[in-house]
Amino acid sequence: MKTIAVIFGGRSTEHDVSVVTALASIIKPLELTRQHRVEAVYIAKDGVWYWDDKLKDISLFSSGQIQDFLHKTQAASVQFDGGMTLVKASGIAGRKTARKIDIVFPAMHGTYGEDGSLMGLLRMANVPFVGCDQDASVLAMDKVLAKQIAEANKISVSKYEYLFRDTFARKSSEILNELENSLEYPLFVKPAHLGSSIGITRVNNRQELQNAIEVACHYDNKVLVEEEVPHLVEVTLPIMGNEELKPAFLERPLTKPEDFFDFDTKYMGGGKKGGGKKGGVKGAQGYSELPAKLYKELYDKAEQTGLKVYRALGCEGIARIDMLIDNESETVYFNEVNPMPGGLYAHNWRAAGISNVELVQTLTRLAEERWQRVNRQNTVFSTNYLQQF
Amino acid sequence: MRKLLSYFSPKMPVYFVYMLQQVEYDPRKFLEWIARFPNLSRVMRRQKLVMTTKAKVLVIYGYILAIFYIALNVQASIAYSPAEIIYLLFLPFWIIFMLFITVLIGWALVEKPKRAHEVKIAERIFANHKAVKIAILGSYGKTSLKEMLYTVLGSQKNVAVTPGNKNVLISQARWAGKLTGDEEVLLIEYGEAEPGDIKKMAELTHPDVAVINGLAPNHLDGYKTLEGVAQDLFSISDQLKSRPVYVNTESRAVKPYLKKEHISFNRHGLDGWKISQVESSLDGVSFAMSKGRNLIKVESGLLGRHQIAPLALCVAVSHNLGLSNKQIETAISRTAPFEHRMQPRELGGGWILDDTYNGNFEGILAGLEFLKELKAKRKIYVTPGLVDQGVETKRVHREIGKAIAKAHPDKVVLMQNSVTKYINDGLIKAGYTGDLELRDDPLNFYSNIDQYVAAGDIWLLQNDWTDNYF
Repeated sequence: MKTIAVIFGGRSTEHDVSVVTALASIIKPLELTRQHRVEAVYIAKDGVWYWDDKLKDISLFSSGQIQDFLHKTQAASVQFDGGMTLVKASGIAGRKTARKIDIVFPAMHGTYGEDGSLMGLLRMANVPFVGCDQDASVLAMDKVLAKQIAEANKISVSKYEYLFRDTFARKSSEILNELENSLEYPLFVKPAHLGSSIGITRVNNRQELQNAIEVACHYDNKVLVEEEVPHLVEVTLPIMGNEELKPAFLERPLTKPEDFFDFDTKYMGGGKKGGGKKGGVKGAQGYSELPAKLYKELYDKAEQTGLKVYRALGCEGIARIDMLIDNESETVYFNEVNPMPGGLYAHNWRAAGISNVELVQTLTRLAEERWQRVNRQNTVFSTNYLQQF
Repeated sequence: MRKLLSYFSPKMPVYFVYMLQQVEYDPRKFLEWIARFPNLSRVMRRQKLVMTTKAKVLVIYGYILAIFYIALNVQASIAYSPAEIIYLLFLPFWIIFMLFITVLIGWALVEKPKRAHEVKIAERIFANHKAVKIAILGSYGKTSLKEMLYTVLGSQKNVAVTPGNKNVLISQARWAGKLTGDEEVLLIEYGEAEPGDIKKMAELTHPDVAVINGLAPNHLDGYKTLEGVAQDLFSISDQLKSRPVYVNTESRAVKPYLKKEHISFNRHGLDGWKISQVESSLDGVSFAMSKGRNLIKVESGLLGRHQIAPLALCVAVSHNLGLSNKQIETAISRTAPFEHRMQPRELGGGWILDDTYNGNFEGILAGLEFLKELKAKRKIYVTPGLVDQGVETKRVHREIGKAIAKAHPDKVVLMQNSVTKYINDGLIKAGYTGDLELRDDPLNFYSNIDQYVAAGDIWLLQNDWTDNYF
């Protein structure tokens, strides 16, 4: 029986979303496969790692008892011993408990997890891990870089500019002028590296633009400013696979054109701003139309765009591609990539005929396949360079 | 080792009393359960001990026995030899023996005479009651049929019905005490367990009409053979003499016992009624029933073609008792699946057919017949098998295995137990090529089924063993 470590929490604004993803959508179905021993590895908001079976219980988090628990619990450490081993004090005569990890299932959202940091660590440890690799995660988590890659691959993106916090602090007026010259209102201002719609603002004038950039700079040092897509239909497509890709259903969040996802409507309210619409299904992110009711050609076009983005960014394992459709011109714009979709977007996969248990089983298999492929590559080269010294 | 250690758990007396409660304080069934050497720490996983007065007294008694035994042994080891302490290992046997003896004595001296008195009073109530008394018996489908009749007849008449699956002599007697005397129809479920049961119930309840809803090799621990079950069920004819006895001839096993005075009912019709235009889907079953110029259109939410015969019986009995066609059609349209009996539940675009109260061979076949005719992206069949099959256990489960294979599910999930190997034999013999998965923790599986289901699936869950069978 292989041991899987599910790593969740983390130093990210999306810490809480990560807890729910791990406990509801990953650990439970993984345990039900009966093929793996599952270890819960929780990274607290201060970055300290904990490893304990009690961390599998959502009530520990929902009741607020987590802080008391962490105070009483010894932190865990990670040992790189030709692989990855979790170590913690057992509490009995100073003895330590260790567990060799065969596969890692990252359930991290946002910084220090979904952005490639954790993937880099796991690559160094040479342990198979689920989801996108380091390179794809870095690209996906930078909305500007992702758009640039998409443009280079002839994938449409909405008109955009970007700026850095320090530059904006020095010459805000100049930057605002440039933005107003090159882009047309309404605009969206987004922190470049944050997910779960945190810090995103829709603006209609210069004053709002300035305020929104200041808000975004509070969260990130790189800020994306982009034009709103007119006649908007927003869709998202979860995709799974390494070389051979499997898309789930194109899903349409039920929002008004002037509305958009923010963190509260996405994860707290159970629906969209404005109350959403009747007749949709309730998924990980409120109500949505699943599958999106687009006519076949447009549906196929959006699906192909999603697959093209997935390949262009080098995604593997799982990712969710968000797209914006101008319903009048029927142009599909790539918006952003989510390399670790909240809750794995399990509701969409289930609708596409893949149960929660099958989903985590498949993702685990894909992780092992990629690891085997990577390990077949030669990374050493024999030279007599050192003999010169 | 863990199993053995569970017999020395501080909660051991509680576990034993829970087991007694589960078998309704039947000393014989208690011993049968103990003989299977269950892991005591796992017996209370589905339910907990209900602290009735009787349970409380027995738990306290169990602990007193334990303390007494331990004290005696400790004293003996001090007084005689330290080796005497070894007798503590026999503590569980001591508790089991004493509880068994106590329950046995309590049964003989208190419970039995008390029950005999209750039955005597109830017999007078039934004999003097003016209602049409309908006895519902058979190896399976009794509770469902009773509920169907209640839905239809109860829409127009004052009907009283034995509650839930309370179908033994004493439960009928206690129910009689609750009747007001104003009822127009009494629906009485007869549960058979050993030879003579049906005769006793008929003598108690004085039925005017009887319905035998099928024959199957159930309760063979009491009857030994199918012939024994049949003789007991068909003994109702002797009690009713010329009054109507309906027999569900969907069950092939009843045919050797069918006599010309019996009224046969099945999916083709009954008593001059003809059935046509049958349609069956996940929405329910519908058909037309005609007798001469009289036409009744039946639309029910019940699932499967095996429901046609009991629905047809409801129509015929209701018609005989004076309900109009319109009243019958309206009432039948209200029939819906009963809890855990071919009860459909939509789950994330997939369907669960919960038939976990189905504990008989014919019912298993009926469910599989329905699964076979349904269209789905993926079909999954789940069962632990059947209990109380006696000497027929091996044959019955091999037949179930073959029947499963014929329904062509994509996947079969078997709850691992003593009959699993026989079902597997049947699957292999019938050339089943789909996936097979064995599960050793049914409760965990059933309670997390949402994690296994995807859109386009149909999962048929048949039967669920209670704690005392694992």
